[in-house]
Amino acid sequence: MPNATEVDVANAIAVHLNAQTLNMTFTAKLDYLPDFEREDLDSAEITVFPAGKQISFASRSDNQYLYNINIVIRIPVKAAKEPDLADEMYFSEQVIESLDRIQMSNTSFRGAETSQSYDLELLNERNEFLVAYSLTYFEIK
Amino acid sequence: MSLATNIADAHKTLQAAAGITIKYSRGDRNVSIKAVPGSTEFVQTSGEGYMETVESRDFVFVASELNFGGKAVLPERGDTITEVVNGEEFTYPVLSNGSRYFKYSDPFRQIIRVYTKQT
Repeated sequence: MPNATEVDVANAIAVHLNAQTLNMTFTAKLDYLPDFEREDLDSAEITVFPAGKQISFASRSDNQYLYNINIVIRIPVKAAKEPDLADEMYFSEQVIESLDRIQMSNTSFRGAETSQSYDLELLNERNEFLVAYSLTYFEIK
Repeated sequence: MSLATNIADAHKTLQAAAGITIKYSRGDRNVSIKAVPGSTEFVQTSGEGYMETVESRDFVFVASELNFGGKAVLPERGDTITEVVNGEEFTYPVLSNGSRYFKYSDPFRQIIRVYTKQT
């Protein structure tokens, strides 16, 4: 059975990320149920999941499809009075830059955004660096 | 007998009945304390399409027992608490429960409850 396009895109993102060499060792995977347990986090993890899509007219015969794919980057942070996130933030930047303008399953990269560079509450209460990006891919068909 | 003394005595009874020995550490300094485990629960949070749970565990002990080299201190971020359960060592960083890292459990600041999470 063929996959939905957003599943193919999410899969392609996970495969692409796993092929990258970045400043931290990590694993990336597609997860339809991103339900994490903090105790299990002992190295950098990237979780990719389809988040939504929009379809609109592009011309008389074609539609524009926008696919929203979320990626969540989670990294354990050492217990410290004043945590240092420089390496984690650089890693996060590397992840997003590795996706810039790369086609995924015939869709084109349109952009990435996050409302916060890391989740302050999780840092404070769980010694965890977590950032969630929303990626957008599009195709006309 | 004053209320403060009553509270201290009640805690000693609880300590004798349900206390465990923990190692409270700050950097390379540590101290053994007889603590009573408080609530242990799984706390959930959710963000943009994801959920995460963590085990939260509280430890209650006499505030004056937390001292390094005779100097009493208060819990702070970066400290850890280690306990041994069935021969296995579990280390919990002291972490905020949304406000502070601890709270006083009595009006006289004799007993404190420290918040930790298993990370």
